[in-house]
Amino acid sequence: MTYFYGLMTALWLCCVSFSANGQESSNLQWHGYFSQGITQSIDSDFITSDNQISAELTEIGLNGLYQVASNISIAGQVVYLDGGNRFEQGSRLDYLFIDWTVDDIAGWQAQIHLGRYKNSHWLYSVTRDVPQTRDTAVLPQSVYFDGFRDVALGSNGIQTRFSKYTDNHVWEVNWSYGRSTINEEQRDYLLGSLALGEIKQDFVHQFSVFWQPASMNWKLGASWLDSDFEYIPLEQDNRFAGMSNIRRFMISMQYFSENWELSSELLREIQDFNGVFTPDYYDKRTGEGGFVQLRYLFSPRFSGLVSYDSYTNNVDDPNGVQLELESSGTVPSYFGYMDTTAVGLRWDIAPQWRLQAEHHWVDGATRAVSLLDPDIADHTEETWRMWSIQLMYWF
Amino acid sequence: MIKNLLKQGDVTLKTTFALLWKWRKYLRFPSPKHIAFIVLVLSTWSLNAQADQTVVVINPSVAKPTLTQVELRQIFTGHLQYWEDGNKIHVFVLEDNDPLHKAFCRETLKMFPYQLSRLWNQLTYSGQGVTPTRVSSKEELIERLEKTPGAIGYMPSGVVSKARMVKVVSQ
Repeated sequence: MTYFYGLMTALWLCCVSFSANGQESSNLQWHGYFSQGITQSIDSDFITSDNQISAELTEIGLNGLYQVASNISIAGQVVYLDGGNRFEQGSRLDYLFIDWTVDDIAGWQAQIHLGRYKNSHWLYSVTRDVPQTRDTAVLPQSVYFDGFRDVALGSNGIQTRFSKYTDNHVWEVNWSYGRSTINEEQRDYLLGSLALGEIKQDFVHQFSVFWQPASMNWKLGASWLDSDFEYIPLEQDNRFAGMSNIRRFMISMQYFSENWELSSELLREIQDFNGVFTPDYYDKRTGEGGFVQLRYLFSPRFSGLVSYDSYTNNVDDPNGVQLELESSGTVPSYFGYMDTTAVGLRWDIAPQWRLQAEHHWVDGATRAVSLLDPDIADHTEETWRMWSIQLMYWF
Repeated sequence: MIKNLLKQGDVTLKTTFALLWKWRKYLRFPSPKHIAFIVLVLSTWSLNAQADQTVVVINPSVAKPTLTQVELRQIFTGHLQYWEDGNKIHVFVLEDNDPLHKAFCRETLKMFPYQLSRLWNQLTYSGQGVTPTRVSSKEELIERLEKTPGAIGYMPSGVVSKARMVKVVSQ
């Protein structure tokens, strides 16, 4: 599958290079972005190790959309990402799909995407790696957990989007079914470096519905996710065969005013875990959290942000006491929760140029590293901070 | 301060509220003089908005006498890409900071410029649609609307052009 997408990407890049004379030709539109920043995590290895200041905050993307016919197009984007310790550094195929649009099904417009599609069920998921579409470089980790980003970002399969515009409302209904490949780095992140086998995502099934008034200044939505994972051990392995199921229910809200905007998402996720550590191991946990974020526009080019994000790994153990007991003290209790307060500033220096800065104060570490990492306590203190300054350009 | 703001022609609601807050002691017992002053500030704000009144225009190649508000919103949010006759829709807009663009967004689309920009960015960088072409001046906007078949955009009311004004109706 990787080679197939590699070949498709190469062909698509050739089309972009040779067909376009600028950003727009009759059937081809292409765009891109470049962003570079400096960043530091203090008293945590979440972004940088040993409290170092680093330039490991790079995001580059190039995308194209080729209109094959009035209702069929091919869209793709490749990205290069460096987010420090947050995720694997390197280039990725962000999306590559065939889009089939049906203009009128009982008054609804339908878009069907086949291929590698982006998760469009959460407020920021569809352009998670596009810096100019995000309010902060590090998104609220309760919802946009970086440890699981490549799996939550998009999948290979089918996605449909139905939208209906009326005089008073805009409705959007999304449904998707697919799966993602989980590589060795992600496996180590999730199960620790003792695992040698393969994690396979059997499927991810998602549904969401959004409502907006005609002016689109409100956006209210709800989404649901169901996904099964399987661990297939090697013959000589430190882990056993196992399965896991994750269900996530989320509500989203966004409000746009002339000088300020408010967004919030709340989630509950239930995870079942069978096997892996011992053949008859069973665990079930319910995690809850969410964020609320306020951006105030001092002027059209200068704005400030305040946000609060909170996540509890297990609602039956909100302070992580049981977690510490069960791990015989290896995992400190503050790995059971994470509360983050962030402030940010944004300055649009010129059209398509932006400078963005942010600072996060964090209490707890549940989203900071894998819970199964044996050196977990060495990585993050109970309270820690992170900041970044990012310059971005897009076209 | 008020003179400067009036000179700039940019008395926003925020500024109005700031002034009202600053002089709240007068507002507790407003005299006719103070009421007249508030009315003057608000009417200046309103006149300022009227000065930027816009009309929706299309290239003469598009045989459509009217557009509904729903169609207009679908076009400018990237959800309608082709005219009924099968020709492609080309949308042209000015930069976010341009007063004409602001007026069009607020008065005709009933949206804020930054809200539209965010929507277009999401469409552009997720492969879900084609977004408007930005132009840097009013003159270029008019030229592109006159010369591009299937084009749609906006102009200040009263400008004489080869592009055709289209009436926006509620349904």
